[in-house]
Amino acid sequence: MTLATASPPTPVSATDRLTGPAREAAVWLRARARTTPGLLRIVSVALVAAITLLWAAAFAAVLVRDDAVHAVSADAAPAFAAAQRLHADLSEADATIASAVLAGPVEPPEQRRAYDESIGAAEGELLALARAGGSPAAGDALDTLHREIPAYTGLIGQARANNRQGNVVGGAYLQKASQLMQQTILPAADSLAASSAQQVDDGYRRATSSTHLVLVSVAGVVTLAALAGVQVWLFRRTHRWLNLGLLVATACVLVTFAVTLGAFSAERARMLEGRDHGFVPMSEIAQARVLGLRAWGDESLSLIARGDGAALDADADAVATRLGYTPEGDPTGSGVLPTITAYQNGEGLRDGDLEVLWRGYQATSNTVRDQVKKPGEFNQARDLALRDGTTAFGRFDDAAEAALKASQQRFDDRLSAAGDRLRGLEAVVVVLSVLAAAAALAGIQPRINEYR
Amino acid sequence: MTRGRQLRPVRHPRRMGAGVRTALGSALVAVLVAGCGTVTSPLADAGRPLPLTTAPGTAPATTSSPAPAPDCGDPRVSRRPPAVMPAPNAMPVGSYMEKIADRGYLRVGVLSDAPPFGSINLAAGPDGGQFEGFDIDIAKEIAKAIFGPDGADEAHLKFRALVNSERIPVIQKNEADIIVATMTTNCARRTQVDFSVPYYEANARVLVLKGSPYHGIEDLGGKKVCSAAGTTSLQHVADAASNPIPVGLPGDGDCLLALQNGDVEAISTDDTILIGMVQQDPRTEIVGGVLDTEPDAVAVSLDHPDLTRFVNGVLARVVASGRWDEIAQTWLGSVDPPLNPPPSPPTALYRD
Repeated sequence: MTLATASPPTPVSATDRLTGPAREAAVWLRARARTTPGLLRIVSVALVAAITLLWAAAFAAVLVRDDAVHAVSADAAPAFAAAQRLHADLSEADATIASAVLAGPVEPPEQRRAYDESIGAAEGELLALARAGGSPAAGDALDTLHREIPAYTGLIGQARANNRQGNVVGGAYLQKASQLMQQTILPAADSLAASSAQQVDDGYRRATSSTHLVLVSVAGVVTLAALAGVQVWLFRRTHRWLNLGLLVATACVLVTFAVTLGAFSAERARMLEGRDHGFVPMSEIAQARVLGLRAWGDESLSLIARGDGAALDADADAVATRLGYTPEGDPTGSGVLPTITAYQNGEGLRDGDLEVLWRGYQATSNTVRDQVKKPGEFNQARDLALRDGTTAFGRFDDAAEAALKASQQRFDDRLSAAGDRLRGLEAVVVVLSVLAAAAALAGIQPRINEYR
Repeated sequence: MTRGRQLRPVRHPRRMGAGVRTALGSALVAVLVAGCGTVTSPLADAGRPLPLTTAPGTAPATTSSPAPAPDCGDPRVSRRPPAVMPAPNAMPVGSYMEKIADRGYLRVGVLSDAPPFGSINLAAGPDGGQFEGFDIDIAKEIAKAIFGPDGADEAHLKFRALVNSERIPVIQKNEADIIVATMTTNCARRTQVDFSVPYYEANARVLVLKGSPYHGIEDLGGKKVCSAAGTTSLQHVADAASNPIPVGLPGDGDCLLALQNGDVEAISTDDTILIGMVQQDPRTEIVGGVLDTEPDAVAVSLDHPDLTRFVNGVLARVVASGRWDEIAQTWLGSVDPPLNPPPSPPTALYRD
């Protein structure tokens, strides 16, 4: 800006230290800058360059964010939900078949159907996840699942065949199958979910990166400063207050700047809501559900083991503790279920109180466990587990599934709202930037023409 | 820009005060920091999976080296029955049997996966879910001796299912009055629980898959041989001269599964249990000679010698009355191949 008048070259200027093409360019620039129209041309080119810079920063940021939001909503979030469903379906199959075998040599048809459906659903999820691909870690987990699920169903088949013939070895097969499920298959499903969760996290970081804001802000401030500086300079040179072209350009740049930052902020707010009201509760409810299924399966296996249930009972107790209850069924105040309740109260959701339903199930389960230890009460314990226990657990499971769907819906809604905030923003940025550049050139050109 | 403004203060009559500007500036910074930071979305703690607790069913894979058993002479020798057995519902005052009678039921620990001695009838119908087997019938005779003819019903006789390794702790913790669970009497166990005279003498033998190259324990050197953990059979495998690899699993059923899956080459336990396995899987067969004789006896707490004497009295009567042969016929009479030698009641030996 202090270069307003063409001053004679100083004996040793910065350009003299430059070499090669840079020196030639500097010499050329200095030669141009000696005349006012030349200087004006340089100024107009600089303004267009600044506007282009803002355009490039905003456009790239919008593209990256849009792509990241899309990656979360179209790939990572569905893969996470699918991995959680896969886990729940497999847990459900394992718990259901244990309960069915417990019922006697002829499995209740509805439980046999439920097992078949759960396995079928799990295979469907697995297929979808395999098609979606993913990280190398996910590939390993998928390999494990592809290999071990047939091994699991094979063991279950042998357990059922033996059970049907009244062979007690069926119980051993069932327990071996359940071990395969709990020790190998479900951890693989967990690692699939963890890898999708990692993708969600990555997507979130890209979709809300503060680097974008810094870049757009720097470019915006530089452009606005350049425009304002040129207008002040022109005013001093020409004593004309208004340059319509430059004013329009300034307005366009301001709008581009504001619209971009505004959209980013709105998009970020939706993403944040999606995380706090969708993703986080979704992961917690999914966990509560598979934990519940694990406890229920433990209970059935413990009953089938008739006496050899100590390790299974200990596992069910660990599950209860994680959910937020002592093995006796008293709330500890911290755990997965209190966390979910706090969230549901915050959302104003009243129906399907998971804590109440869990306590109902755990109370029945504890009665069953006490009865098993009393000589002669095994059959009562088994009947109680099959009747009241199954009903109570079913209520918990249904409520957890409904809550899971609701939180997943909320997550999807917020993600799609976040995507909406960016929709069309590229076009707006392009149009406004072209307008700004054209207006800036149109504003300076008459001043250049005055020298012809 | 700022500098330009400062140079021409007059042209900006509505110039903001420095304080206001600072405030606005810091507000802008605050908004930028609060509203623009990168959002991360890690998996919440409550959404992470719970690692498995102690893996169910993974009992010690091999035996520990046994403490040298104290020499108690012949472990089959037990306490002499009372000269006159008390009539049902008239237990001697102060005896442990009287406590049982007052309680109203006898608590018996049995196996649930070892047919034809102790198992749960899986068939539908009135017998479905009921315990049955040789051991169960012996327990019923003892209950009848305390409560009379209806002593064997559910109200007077309560079964507690056990795995083999639980048999001693359940007695020591007084969770059952007696254990009738193909339990071999030996000197090591006699220091922990009291035993009746044997009610059955089983022969430890070897079960393999049909068509396998093994014809006895002597062919199984370096091969895996399964027995239920906490049994004398597992010790016999460990002690065998051919040096097979002993594998201890929680129950007999787990051993059968391991054999069917090819995880072990053979199972060694009482022939009576092996017969139950052949019935469940006809592709298996019993081979080789007798590894050892396993005298099965009723376990009783060391604190209740009067109950041991009473049980011995019941067992003597069961043998003398021919009831023993009926029970043996029911559970072992139709097995194929037939037991060799055929079952016969063990001789009762008393130490006093």
